Amino acid sequence: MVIYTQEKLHPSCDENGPSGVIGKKGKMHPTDAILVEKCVNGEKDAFAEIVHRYQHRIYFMAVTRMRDRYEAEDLAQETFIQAYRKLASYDPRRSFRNWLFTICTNLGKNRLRSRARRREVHKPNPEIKPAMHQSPAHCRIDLMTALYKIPEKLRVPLFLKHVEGFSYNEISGMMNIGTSAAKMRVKRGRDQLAEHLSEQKATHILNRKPSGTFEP
Amino acid sequence: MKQQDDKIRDNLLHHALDGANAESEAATGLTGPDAARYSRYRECLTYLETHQETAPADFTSRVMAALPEKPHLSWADRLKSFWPEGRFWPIPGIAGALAMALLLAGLTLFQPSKKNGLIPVVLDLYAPSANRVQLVGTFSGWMPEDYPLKGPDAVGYWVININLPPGRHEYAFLVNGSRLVPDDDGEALRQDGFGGRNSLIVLKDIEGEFDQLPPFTVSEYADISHSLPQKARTILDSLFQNNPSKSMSKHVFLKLREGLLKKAQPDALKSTVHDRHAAFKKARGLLAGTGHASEITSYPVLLDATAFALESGFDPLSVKKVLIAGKGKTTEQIAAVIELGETLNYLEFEDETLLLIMKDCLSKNLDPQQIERVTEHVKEKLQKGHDRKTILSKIWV
Repeated sequence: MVIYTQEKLHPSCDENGPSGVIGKKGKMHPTDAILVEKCVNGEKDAFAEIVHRYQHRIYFMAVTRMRDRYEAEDLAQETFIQAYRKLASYDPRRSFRNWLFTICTNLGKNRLRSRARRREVHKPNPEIKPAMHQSPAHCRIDLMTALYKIPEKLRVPLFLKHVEGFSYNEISGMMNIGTSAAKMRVKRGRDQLAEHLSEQKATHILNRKPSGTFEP
Repeated sequence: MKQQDDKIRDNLLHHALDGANAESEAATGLTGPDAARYSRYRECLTYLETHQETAPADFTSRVMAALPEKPHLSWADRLKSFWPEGRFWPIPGIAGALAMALLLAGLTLFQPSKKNGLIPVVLDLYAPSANRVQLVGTFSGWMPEDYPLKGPDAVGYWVININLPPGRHEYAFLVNGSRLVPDDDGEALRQDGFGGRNSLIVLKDIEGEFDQLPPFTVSEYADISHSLPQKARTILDSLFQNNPSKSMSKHVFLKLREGLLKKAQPDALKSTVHDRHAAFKKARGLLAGTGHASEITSYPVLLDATAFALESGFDPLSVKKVLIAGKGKTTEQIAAVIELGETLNYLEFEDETLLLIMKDCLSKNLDPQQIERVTEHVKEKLQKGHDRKTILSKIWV
């Protein structure tokens, strides 16, 4: 069971003004921009706060992208390390979240490319079982299995749009594709997700005992 | 008609899904089966939107442990920290020399994947329901048989690994032997002159061992023209005979082949092939008129770049100015600048703006790789939504 953290409620923590956001307990949450500035000035601990703030979301993105949890963890780690390395080149006028996810998108692309060279791409690792970290209400539908059936090209824009709530313009910038291509990919992604989830639902109904109530 | 209607309804549905997450069917204005489909989609998307993944418990501490000491280290700093102090200073020098020697030995003994200067390229297309996908392009003379893609794999991708010579290649995928699809993920797209688009890939010839396509001679042309259908032959014949030098760029012939593959209308075929021929003729004229006559044969890349720029609608006067400004620069530099101009022209930069950037590249004496980086920089900025004026004002910062 996962608890939604503050940042999930405030998907754009960095756009909440310069001074910071006051959380539920009245504690000040510094904005991303302030944390980044601290890091650049040598306060390494400030980066821990950034990692803490984004770890689950970047990890979700990485899992979506890589299909394999070990590789996903690796990609998520590399994203933060790369971000830290390049922190000096981050333009504070841009959204930090957008910047971070762009790094993750690009790193993922490189990984898939190098995997393609090894001719293993698109083959999920059979030894790794899909996600078990789902909330009870959803455990009968295996979202990740359905998601993995969608080609990576469509899966990533679908994730960026519906999980992270980026606009098509932002997605097109992050993925280096046109806005209309981004729209088209999200659209096709939705079609396929609906199709794969309905398939699952159908097989579940067939396999269920008649007495139970089915709540997908 | 019905198909069109379905498409509109589909768009409305997806438009509604684009909106706020919690919008009810009633609020979307969709009715009947569309409303049902909307709620089905909405339900599926809710799974995705509310799904959670948790990074491992010690994720943050592991990332922190793996971080480098400082966010950004310049190369100078890194070297400084690497270089030992006191009397051990020759050690890195010797180590470096040894590494260099090993590297050189390795390079000469094992030629890596680059075979005879050919550059390996992987192209793929997502087409799960296709029966056959072939790669067609200038490198195969737009003939479909040479490069079949393998696929589809489990997900629906068709893939091909090929080795291409350096140079400028236009290509597209031929799906099921009839439909031509450009590569959405390719480097760039260009209008093909027949109402469609081709993907463009430019592979750099770093070692300079490749000649670009040499022009046809009369006898070579006679050999090849037999293979052409009558109507196509008449198009080329007229061009060939009007050309006093009795030679013609192979690119003109390739355009004809492309048009034949794309089943272009006879008029369109003729005018597009003529356009390309005219572009090459004009390019030759411009080069000869600006003191670059000797490079026409010694470095055909420049001729090709100039001709393609003209063909894509680049102002000939600007090209001429650039060629004049390029006096004293290397041919590679001028060709790179003209390629830059063609790309920016395609990205709808105005002629004057373009000319300024191109002349700046030359006056700053940038080498071809740097010029290429300028192109990449501008493309990246455009994609991020910067407008052309700001890009121009900040380009040299």
